[in-house]
Amino acid sequence: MSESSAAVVRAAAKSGESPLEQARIVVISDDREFVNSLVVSCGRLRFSPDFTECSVASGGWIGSCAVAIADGTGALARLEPGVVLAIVICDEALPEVWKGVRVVRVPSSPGWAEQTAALARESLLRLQAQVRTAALEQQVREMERYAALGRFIVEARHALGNALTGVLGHSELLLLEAHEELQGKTRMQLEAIRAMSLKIHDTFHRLSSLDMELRAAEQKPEWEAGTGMPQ
Amino acid sequence: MPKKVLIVDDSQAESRLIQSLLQVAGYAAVALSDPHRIEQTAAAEQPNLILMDVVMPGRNGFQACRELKNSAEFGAIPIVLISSKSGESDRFWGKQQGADGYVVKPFTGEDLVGEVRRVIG
Repeated sequence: MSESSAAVVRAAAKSGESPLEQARIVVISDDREFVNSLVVSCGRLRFSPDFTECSVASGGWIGSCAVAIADGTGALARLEPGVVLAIVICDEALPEVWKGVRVVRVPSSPGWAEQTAALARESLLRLQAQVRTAALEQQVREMERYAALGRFIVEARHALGNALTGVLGHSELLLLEAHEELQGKTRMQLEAIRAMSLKIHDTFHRLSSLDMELRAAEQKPEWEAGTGMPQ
Repeated sequence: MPKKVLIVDDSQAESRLIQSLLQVAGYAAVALSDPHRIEQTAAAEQPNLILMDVVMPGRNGFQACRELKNSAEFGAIPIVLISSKSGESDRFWGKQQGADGYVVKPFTGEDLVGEVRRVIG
């Protein structure tokens, strides 16, 4: 993937937009017929991207876009680094990369418009696949983070549960077995330990119940939760 | 004669604690840390109930419970599982293995003895 293509993919994956919506096609030409031929050829492929027309002669910002279609080598000067692919219709040899933009030459022989439309469509579809892949990879990374967090919580809960069982049990046993031997202050402190550990025990179980309630709420159908109607 | 409980837990500290809690409540308790020796110990001790941890190395509580309940010799002994897993699915799975009771960690003496009493009186 080229640098500009990767930038478009990253931006689209971040915004959640489809690159076919986000990425437009810029046509750099002063010839109205040139633009019309392209639109017709795209229509034959059932491909209707968002076209932006730019004049070769006048200035103006092209900005980042998936594909720039240029009418002749004169239009190359207008290319911006944010463009993923430039298709130039001309009969002269061209550099493969111009200002960091990948350049493909299409000879101006009959059929140029169809060939250009097919190239542009393929480029956008490839970009769309790349964005989907990047978004899925991002999702996988997030899921992995959640899974690691979940494993940590389960382990911590297990360890805390075991430790708390010990504190609860031993304080209870001490109070039961050594009740007569315990001095006033020691007994009071032990009772405080017992009371505090019981509070932690209750909180522990309340958190477990909350977790279960949240999971149950997630599993409820939308209409039952009052956010929609059954189909 | 007090009713006898066989405690199966690989943690000796936990076993001792459970043993003490049960003894205070009037039960006789025998502790075992190796889950592979449950059948052998149960045959020798003839317990009224087996109290078993779920997470144990080599043979977990679910597995041991299923095998004991399927055996002709030990199938009638009530089993109570102890686990830190508190989900409904965990309890359900425990019951599916044939367990008669389920205690969730952290537990109080009252939780533990209450469940033992519910099962064997």
